[in-house]
Amino acid sequence: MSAPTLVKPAGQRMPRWVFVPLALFLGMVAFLAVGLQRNPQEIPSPLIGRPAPAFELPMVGGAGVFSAEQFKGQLTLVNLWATWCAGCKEEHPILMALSRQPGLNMVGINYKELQASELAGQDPQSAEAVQKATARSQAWLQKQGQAFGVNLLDMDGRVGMDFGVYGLPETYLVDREGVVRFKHAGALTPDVVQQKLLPLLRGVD
Amino acid sequence: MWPEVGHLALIMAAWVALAQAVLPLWGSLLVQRAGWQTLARPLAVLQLVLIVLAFGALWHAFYGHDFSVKYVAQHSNTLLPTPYRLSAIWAGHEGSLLLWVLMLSMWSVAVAIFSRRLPQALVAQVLGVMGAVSVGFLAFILTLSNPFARQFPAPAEGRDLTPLLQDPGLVIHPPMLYMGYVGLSVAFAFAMAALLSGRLDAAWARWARPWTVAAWGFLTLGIALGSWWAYYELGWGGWWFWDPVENASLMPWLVATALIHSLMVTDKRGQFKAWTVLLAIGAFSLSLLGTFLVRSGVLTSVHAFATDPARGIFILLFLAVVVGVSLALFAWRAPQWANASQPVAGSRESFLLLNSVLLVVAMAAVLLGTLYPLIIDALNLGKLSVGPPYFERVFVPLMVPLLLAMVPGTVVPWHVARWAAVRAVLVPGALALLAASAWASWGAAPQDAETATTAGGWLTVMGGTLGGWIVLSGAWQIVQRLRLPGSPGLAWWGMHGAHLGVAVLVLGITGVKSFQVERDVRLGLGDAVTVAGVRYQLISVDNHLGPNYLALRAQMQVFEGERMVGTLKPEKRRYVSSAMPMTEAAIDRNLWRDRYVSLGEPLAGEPPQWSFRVYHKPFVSWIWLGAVFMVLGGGLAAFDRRYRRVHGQTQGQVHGQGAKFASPQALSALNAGKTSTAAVGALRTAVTGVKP
Repeated sequence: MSAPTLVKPAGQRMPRWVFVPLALFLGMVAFLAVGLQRNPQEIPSPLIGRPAPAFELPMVGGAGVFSAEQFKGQLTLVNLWATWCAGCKEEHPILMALSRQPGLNMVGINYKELQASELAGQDPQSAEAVQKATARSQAWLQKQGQAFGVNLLDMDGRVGMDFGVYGLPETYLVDREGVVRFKHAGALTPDVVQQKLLPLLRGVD
Repeated sequence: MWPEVGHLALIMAAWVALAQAVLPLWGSLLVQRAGWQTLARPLAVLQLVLIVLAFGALWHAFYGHDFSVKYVAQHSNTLLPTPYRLSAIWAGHEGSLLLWVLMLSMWSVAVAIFSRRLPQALVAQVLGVMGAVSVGFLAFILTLSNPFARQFPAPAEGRDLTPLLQDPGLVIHPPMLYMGYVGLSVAFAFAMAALLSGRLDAAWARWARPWTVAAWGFLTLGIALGSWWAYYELGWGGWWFWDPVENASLMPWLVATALIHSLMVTDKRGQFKAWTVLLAIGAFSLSLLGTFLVRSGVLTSVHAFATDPARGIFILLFLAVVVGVSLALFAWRAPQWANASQPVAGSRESFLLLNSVLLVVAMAAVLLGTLYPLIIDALNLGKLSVGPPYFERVFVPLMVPLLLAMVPGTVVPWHVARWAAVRAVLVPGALALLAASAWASWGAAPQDAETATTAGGWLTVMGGTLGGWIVLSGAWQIVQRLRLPGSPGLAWWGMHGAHLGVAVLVLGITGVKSFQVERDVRLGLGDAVTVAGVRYQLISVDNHLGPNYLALRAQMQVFEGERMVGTLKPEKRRYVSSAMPMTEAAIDRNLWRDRYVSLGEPLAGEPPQWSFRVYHKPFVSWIWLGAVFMVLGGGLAAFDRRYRRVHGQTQGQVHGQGAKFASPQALSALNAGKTSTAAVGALRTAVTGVKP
């Protein structure tokens, strides 16, 4: 091979087109860098700023029902969960900590505790199914901790659907007027609570 | 102890890679030190030995259930069958990267071995650049993605491998895909060597060709395996979903395809030099971009992997440095390679230029669609996703002219325009059009009340004609060539094999898009559904216990008329350690059609019913058969002896690559519009490079 050739090609002006690939690439890198700061999983809920959907559900193990009307007058954290959901177990210690927060009402909605494969054609509202779900729900909370002041059974998943649930767990903050102020899909993390939920709680108070 | 040995080997490999990057490049570019240049080969070998040691150590940990290694505990457990335990090594982020560097050093050693006849300085530069890429990845592994990290106390049992990955297709899909991705680093290293040294001649292009074709073959195989796996495992009956991760593998494939063809022009004609270098940089850059998109989690995808922002930033920086530096070097060097002469419209170069442009535009369209959600989000314009309709609407119109140019591109001569050469392949074209029309009207004949909507449409005629034309004119060219003395080179056969593959793929896509019948039904025991004239009767649904899963398994008897022709057993599996149920579709396949049944959810009600998807998919196997032909063609071409020659050769030795110049007699015969015998003779010269 010839002598070292790291020399600028002589006598040529740099045409502009040679910079096009570099410029396009740098533009793309800029977008990727911004994109890295965003979370594609974070999908804004159309419910934010609107009243929570109206519903009425039986409380687990207790007599009586809870309706969306009862959101009014106090700050409520609504958590959709199930015993078969791994993320729910993961976030439960955080819910336990939040349940000690004064002035915050904790409502759990046990969403489709019995899944289609378990029901095998059985009506999810039948006494047998409700009994089985109740037993499982209570045993799980006994073990993981009673984070919910009120625990509701959404056997057929209607209420979850009205909330627009993508997957479990999901958490909503409902203010004194019954308006949804915050939604988080997936397990709560200390970061989410510190940076989003707690500031909101202070603001709403 | 072995994990520590592996970790240490990896650290040493990083230093060896650094030496492999610095010394040969320094010794060939800044000072002339033959001694430093000759270090490139042994250093590449040493690096491979160390990385193999590390890989082996991780394998040992997986095999022996060493759950004190965090990565092992995250991806394997004691119930996992042995083959999946060993393939679990590339199920996660850390192991995937280790596989990446293993492949990279394997390609480096392959270059070191098969480049004995190449100039020492070029080998030193190529291996030096590959060493530099390796340094980046090893640094990433050692700082942010250490697969050997320990955890104490060790858990008694590991988590399971994602059930989606417990499948033979997925055992080999990632290694093949990575072989392709990483293999493109060789073409990239050749391009960088050319940019750094300023030397880019026909020999350079000739030596780069087999490496590019080999990497392209692996990439093709990897993509095809992924698509095949998605087809039978996801239970949706589809074979391509325009998922961001699929797109990430398609983009380098498109550019690598353009590169293969552009390299040929640089080799044969000494043209397209700057463009070839740009494509080589582009193909590997898109591999790196794919790695970034998959590993950083900036896009949502069914392949959503655990993500870590620090990792994303590292890969982005690495991408910016590698690609930024190479494109800056390109801007500096490219002016001297700018084409002096434009290709004559109608010459082979002009068709290959068209090929390049269309493929690159297609890549840009896919890139735009893939990144669009991210761009919109970054500009705070909202959240959206781009789906298959966009990709199909943009991609198909770009592929049609590409396919249309494939036949003339292989029959016209270099350098001059001679449309008469195309005339001889018009007969196969007319035959293909006839056959396709017959095909479309045959398919449109009602077999079933609910035949798919597009059956027999003009898209069927178009796809059938394009595919058929490529097949028939390829066959015609082969017949013409075999009547002549001498044997065409392997590359010539490879070209025809790969083009046949493209045609078969096009016919497969056309057939399945046009004639498939899909039915979503609910069935109880004893119920039957008729799809495309075939009756599927549900016999039983039972529980079935696998090694680490519980399955619901349905049995369906398949009747053609009154005759039972088989039993299909679709399953729904629930793996012990995962809540997500997995679909195992049952497929009865032959060359002409697949019968595809997947089992859905049990439905509420009495008596029990289940939802089923029953698909009749004509020609769907052709999609993967086409890929097989492409891979075989690429494999043949990679072994052409001509690519390993040091010196160029005269026209007479160019077997089957098309004549460089048509003979004056032939030209004048055509220009004068003489008898068909003369025209055919000239054509033969053009096609085969051998005078009749």
